[in-house]
Amino acid sequence: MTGLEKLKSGDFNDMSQEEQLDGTVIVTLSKRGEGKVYKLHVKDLYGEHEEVLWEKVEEV
Amino acid sequence: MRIIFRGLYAAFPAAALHTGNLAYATDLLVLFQSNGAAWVGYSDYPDYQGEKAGLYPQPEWAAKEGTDKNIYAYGTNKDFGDYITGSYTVPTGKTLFITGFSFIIGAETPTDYDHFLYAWGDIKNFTTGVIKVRLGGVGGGSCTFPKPITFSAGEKVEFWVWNISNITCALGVTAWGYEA
Repeated sequence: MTGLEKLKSGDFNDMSQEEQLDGTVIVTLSKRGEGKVYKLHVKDLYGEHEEVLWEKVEEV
Repeated sequence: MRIIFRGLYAAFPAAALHTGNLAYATDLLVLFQSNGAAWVGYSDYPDYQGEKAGLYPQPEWAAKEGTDKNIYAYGTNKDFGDYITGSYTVPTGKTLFITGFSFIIGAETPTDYDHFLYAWGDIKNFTTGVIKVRLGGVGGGSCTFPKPITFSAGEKVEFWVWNISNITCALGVTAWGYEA
């Protein structure tokens, strides 16, 4: 499952959205007990031209 | 069905038993109070007897079950009238219950920390355009909701913070609750 899929399906407990100066957003998602953190840089989050610029999954 | 809240009844709002609604399924009991609050209980016994029975306010139950949600958003370089938003669209088949909300405003340079740092914080239903909550405060603000702020499947919730001070600031917002 990608980070965007986790966001859209609500498969997380914690989410942070760090707004960038260019209006894009870095979204961080985690779920207790999963041992992973999903980070994705999104342009136009929830918008018509939504686009994931990059994504990475970190083991924690 | 017989229900005995042995040792728990004193901690439970008795009025809910008489005025609220009740739902029951196999090993899960849900009591809804007239103010919208809900309590959830479970037991190893179908009639809720014995020391193994438990009864929790629904937010606490959600944290135990892993359906709780914490949403945080942050942004910098905001002048007077600028804002940040955090957003989330409730997935199909789910309902989002917001039980708490807080926001913060902070100066970005040390020489500005003695200014009057005022901000607004909103919870908005983007889909309907309705502002559900608006708070204001110097330095930020916080509120919890005994009756949760709810959003249905497909609705987009937005958490806003506005800089109402005359200097450049960083803004942050946190909302918490659960999804069921």
